[in-house]
Amino acid sequence: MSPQSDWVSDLMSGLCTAAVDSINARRFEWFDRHLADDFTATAHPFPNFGKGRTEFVEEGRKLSQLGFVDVEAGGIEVGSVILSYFTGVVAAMQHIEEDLGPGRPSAREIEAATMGRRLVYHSAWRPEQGVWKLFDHHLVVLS
Amino acid sequence: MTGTGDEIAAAAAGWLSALRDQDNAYFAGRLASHFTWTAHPFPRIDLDKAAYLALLKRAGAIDIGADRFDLRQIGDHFSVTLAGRFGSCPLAADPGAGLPDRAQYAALFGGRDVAWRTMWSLLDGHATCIDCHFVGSV
Repeated sequence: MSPQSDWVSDLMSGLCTAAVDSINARRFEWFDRHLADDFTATAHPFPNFGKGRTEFVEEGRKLSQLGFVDVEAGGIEVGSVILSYFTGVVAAMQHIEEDLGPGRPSAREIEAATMGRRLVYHSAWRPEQGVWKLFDHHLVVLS
Repeated sequence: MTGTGDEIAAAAAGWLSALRDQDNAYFAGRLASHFTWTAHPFPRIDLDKAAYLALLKRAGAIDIGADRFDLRQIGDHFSVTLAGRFGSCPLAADPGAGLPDRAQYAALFGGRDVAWRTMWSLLDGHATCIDCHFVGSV
């Protein structure tokens, strides 16, 4: 496993910032471009949160505002893959719909569980035809 | 690294060898009561501590080699990435819990480099894992 390098930190910082910016600007083309076909999202400590690409994008469209403070991003290369982390304290989170789907936590429950808390996203990226594709996205809400 | 970091590093470094040696006492002692285990590419699988321990018991010794390790401090927590290469048929038996059976698992991951992301903290003075996510092939 290679140690974290500056280019990996810069790349991951740029990609994570672009993802948050695209949500706030409601430009979801970023997700079409950067989510791999086998993308999955999971989370601790939300049981039954797991979802695939289509569900993740649908739920992302219900998020109208997302903001972090005290942010840090980086990653390590493992083979041709980058295993990244992005961490920050949630300063803003707002949904435009309360119902996130059957069996899902409600928008209000997610906002209450994350506002002011430090989140860590453990993610995995691979290059495909010159584009960094996010194929695994795991959220950990720290106590 | 801080003293806490050293303690977390020492505990986390035992993860893959405990899988290999089917040392389930290691996991029983290191997993938090609110521990969860998830896996790519199986988003519907979300195991709590008891279910994960049962999975390990069913799956038997896991053929995983060449431990690699990265630790990063995030506030009071520690993100630990573990990676290694599975043998050609990594599981000794069917794991259950909604995962593919032993043969399917071998077809998906056998002989491949795989990784885990784990989150640790010091709870009551004890290095404890609160979350483990299997990335799959890397």
